Amino acid sequence: MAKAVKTTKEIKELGLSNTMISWLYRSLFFLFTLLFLGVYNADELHFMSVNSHLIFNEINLTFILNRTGGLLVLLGRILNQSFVIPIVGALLFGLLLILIQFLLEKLYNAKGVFLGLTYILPAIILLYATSAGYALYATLDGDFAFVALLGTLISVSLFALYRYCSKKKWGGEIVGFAVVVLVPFIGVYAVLSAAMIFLDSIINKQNRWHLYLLTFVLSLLFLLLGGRYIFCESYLTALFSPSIFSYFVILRVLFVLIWIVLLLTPIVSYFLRQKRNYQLTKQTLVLQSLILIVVMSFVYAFSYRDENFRKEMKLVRLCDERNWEEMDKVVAETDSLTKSINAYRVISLARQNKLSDNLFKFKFPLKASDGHYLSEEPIYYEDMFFHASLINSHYLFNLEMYMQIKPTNKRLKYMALYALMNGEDLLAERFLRQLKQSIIYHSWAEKHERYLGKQELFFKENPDLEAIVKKQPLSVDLIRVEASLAEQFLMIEKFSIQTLEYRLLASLYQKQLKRFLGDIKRIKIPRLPECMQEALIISVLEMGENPAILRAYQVDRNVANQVNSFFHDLKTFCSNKTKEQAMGIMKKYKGTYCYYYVFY
Amino acid sequence: MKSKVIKIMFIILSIVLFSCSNQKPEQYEETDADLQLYPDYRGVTIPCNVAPLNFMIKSGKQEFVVVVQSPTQREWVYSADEEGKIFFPEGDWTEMLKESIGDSLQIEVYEKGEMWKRYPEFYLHVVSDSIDKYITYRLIEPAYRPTGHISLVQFHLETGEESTIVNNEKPLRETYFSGQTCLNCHSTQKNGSGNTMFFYRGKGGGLVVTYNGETKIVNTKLGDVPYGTVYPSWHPTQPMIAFSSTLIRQYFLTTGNRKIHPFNVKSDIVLYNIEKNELSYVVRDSTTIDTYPCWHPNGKTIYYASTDSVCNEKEASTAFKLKYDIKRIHYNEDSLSWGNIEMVFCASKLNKSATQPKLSPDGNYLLFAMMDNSSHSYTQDSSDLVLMDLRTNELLSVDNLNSDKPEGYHDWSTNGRWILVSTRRENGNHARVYISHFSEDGIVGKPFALPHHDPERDLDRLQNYNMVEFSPTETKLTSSKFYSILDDVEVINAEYNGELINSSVDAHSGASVVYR
Repeated sequence: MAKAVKTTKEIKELGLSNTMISWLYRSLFFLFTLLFLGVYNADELHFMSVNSHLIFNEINLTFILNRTGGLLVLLGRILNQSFVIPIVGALLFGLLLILIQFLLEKLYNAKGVFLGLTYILPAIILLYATSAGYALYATLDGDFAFVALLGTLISVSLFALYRYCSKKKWGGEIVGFAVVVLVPFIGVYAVLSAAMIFLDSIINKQNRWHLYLLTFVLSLLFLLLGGRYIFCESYLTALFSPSIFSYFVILRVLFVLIWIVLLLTPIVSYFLRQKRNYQLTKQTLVLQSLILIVVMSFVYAFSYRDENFRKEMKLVRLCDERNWEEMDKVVAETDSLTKSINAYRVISLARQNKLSDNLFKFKFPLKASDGHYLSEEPIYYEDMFFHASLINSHYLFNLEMYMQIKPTNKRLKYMALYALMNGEDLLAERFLRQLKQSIIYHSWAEKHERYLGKQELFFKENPDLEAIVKKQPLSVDLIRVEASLAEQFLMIEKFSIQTLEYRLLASLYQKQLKRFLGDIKRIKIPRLPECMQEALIISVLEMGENPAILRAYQVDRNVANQVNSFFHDLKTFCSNKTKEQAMGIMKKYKGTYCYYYVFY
Repeated sequence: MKSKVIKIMFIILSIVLFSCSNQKPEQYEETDADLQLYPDYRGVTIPCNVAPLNFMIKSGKQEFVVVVQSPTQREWVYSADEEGKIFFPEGDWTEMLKESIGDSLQIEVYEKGEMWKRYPEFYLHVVSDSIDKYITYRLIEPAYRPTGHISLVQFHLETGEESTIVNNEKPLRETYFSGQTCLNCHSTQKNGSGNTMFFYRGKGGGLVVTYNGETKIVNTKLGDVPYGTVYPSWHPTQPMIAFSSTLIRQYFLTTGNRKIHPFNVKSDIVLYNIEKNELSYVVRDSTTIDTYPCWHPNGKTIYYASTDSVCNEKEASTAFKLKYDIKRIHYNEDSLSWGNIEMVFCASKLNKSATQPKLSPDGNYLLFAMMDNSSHSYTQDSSDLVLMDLRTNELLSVDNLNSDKPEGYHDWSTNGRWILVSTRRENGNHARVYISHFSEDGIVGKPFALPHHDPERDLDRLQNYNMVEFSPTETKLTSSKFYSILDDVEVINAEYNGELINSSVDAHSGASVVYR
């Protein structure tokens, strides 16, 4: 079949050939992928890699491989580790996407305006990789991106191999049966390859199409029955293996879209091969460029782009790096805080000893996250308990999330840290051993191994962790684990001065002023933060507390005036209840404890 | 299949190792340096039919040679692999054991440095008492509230092969976060009949009991028995299983190495008759909390742990005050009725709590866990095993079985010569299985860890071994078969036999204080 490309004079004058244009577009798409993934979605990629679970020992590898498409999951998980440096992961991802496009270009023999068609599949995969959004919180499963990419690449490669081998006697049939053998390792992607081969044989009216039908049927049976009787999966789970779980509708739709495009490949290829005499003109060049722009815009427009989600991802990373200043900046840039952003705001403030002055200075009500899969609590719970010095609770949540949601390397790291901080070297050794068998945390684990049996050295070199340990409660208290952080602080019997501060704030947060008064009388604090001064005034005004307490704690006159003024304005507001008054109160008193006490 | 592949790889590895230059060093110097082994098999007593006790030398990354010498002076020489692991080929191992029955295998370790060093030799004492072929256990991550990945597993003690009976991966992959399924309490009737049971707590689940080859799924949590049935004990011959019907709660601790304190708020002893599909109370007393039933091998008595302390779920301090004693109640097989309750061991008088009674197959010995309070041994460092000779009511020393970490969930082999214990001795958090010899004259040998092919297996494993039991027969169920049964078999409700037994009996009447 001739596929001559006629190049007009004006294009020749531009010094462009079809091949050059092809590479130019490829480079543009690659650059887009690099920026879109490695820069725009950098924090999401980082989150995906550190929350992956890849430990190279027999137990873990057997667990990963013991499912339909297990080999693909393992390979995807290995490549997912590259996302820890997002730009490196994006580079790798981009190169593999380009390889798919390149193969499709060869299979389609696409030239001219049809070149744009070869970008559709890479674009869907790119979209798929960045569309998890809050679903990531529910599964922490970042492996799906590389799994889909590799699976598609293998499917297309097998189809290309079949095309190449079918020119030789029995070559195509051998590839067809080899695909069946691959079913347990790459799951549905092998079935898709078999389907593509079968479709191709029908379209091209091959004599042995019935053999390809047999390979397709066999591969499908292998997938379903192997899943059911070898890996003990339901038929539906096997059919969609390996992929992310079925209730993430967007991802499921995109996943099926990948199937459809793959199945269309032999058909598109057939029709494009019939086409002859492409002409490369200025118009076709513009059209090609437009198609590419549309494809890239499509990816950008339909990808998950919740600004709060991206900030939460960033805060998770910054908290792990203990970069409090940067965290403050991210929070300051946020107009409306979500539960998670507020939690990280509190963590940062607490670690900088600025919590008392700022706890109630946030805009409420908190914004609900744009994710309906699950409460987002799991992402900040462990961090919150850790930095609040309730390290046993931190460990409990960490372990429970490790079991219930997903084991992750990052969780292992924190369990190792906990054990070192809690003086449980033998336990720490167990976790460090696991991390030494990982890629990302290998050197971290080696570094921390030298602290075993040397807690003094550990604290000397990690003073911020020592600070956390020193702020622990002084008593061994029994708590109910379903209790929130604030409730847990209220269950503590004996506390250091630092823990007391948290406990007093917890009482204020819970609006339990009686408990606050009880605690504050147990200890003398040189200068009360403003929110506590306000609480004292409220307790005098509202609960009949003896006003002498205000003198005893040297409550500032300005604070007293402000609280009085607030309650005066509130009284006026209650009698009229106009919107303007409400706005006025908010503007004037936002960030004060009395405003929080009444309106939150 | 998987285990066969591992086995073949192991054999190849062994051949490779064996074909390496396994030569006993001729010149060496003696060293007293501490040799670190995992598992530490030094001085253990082992059965004549146990799988190879492969181990790893943790003392460094040097080259090691191990020389094994039987009492007949025959020697076997092996080189450790680059990780310091020693793998004994199965054929050699069988011969070593055969030549050493009633005596000991001597093991020497040589380390290559500038000059070869020889560590002090150690011994494996081989006894003629064989051990049951299988043990079964649950593998579960050591978390507290949710259920994650759980497997019921059987371990072949003669080959070291571990195989999954049932796991919960299927429902987990289907429902993932939204659904929780639990598998627990796998137990086998020890008369060699192959009758087994376990609980599948998930959609369509219940008590899964296989009796005379027929499997049924039973709901035992009924209106009259409102709490979940746990801690099974098979009648030695009859189609009956005793359970605790228990309301368990737990508190968590804010600081320190101990993290959790589980406790029973309410608990009674119930009996499930498999053939009649009938559930009835054995001990139901509102003034006591009764748990961990254990049938006497003669099938005429149930031993159990009981406390008359009051537990207020909402008052945390009461959870620390529960002190359990060991009691027993007699069963009349002819009249199918229950007799009086007797005190067997009054731990509360010692300000202690005794729980998990297990009787030796000859009925002469009672092994139980004793700790500061509560009945859940696995969370308390103070929990140690205590052995009582029921013929003399004397307590015997079992120091070899105990450590400074929690011990509990123990069991006797069917010939009564081996005791297994689930212990957290390795790091205080992860339970591992250790097995001790129990000689005819009541001496407990130093326990050995499970003989996995790969000696590092228990270091790499982050799960706990839970509800460990000896089993004389193989459990032939697989996950695939089980989930087919789950699809096909309808859950039946156990029928409640409303007659309350012993509800009016004073638990302390007729008690005989046996502690000396």
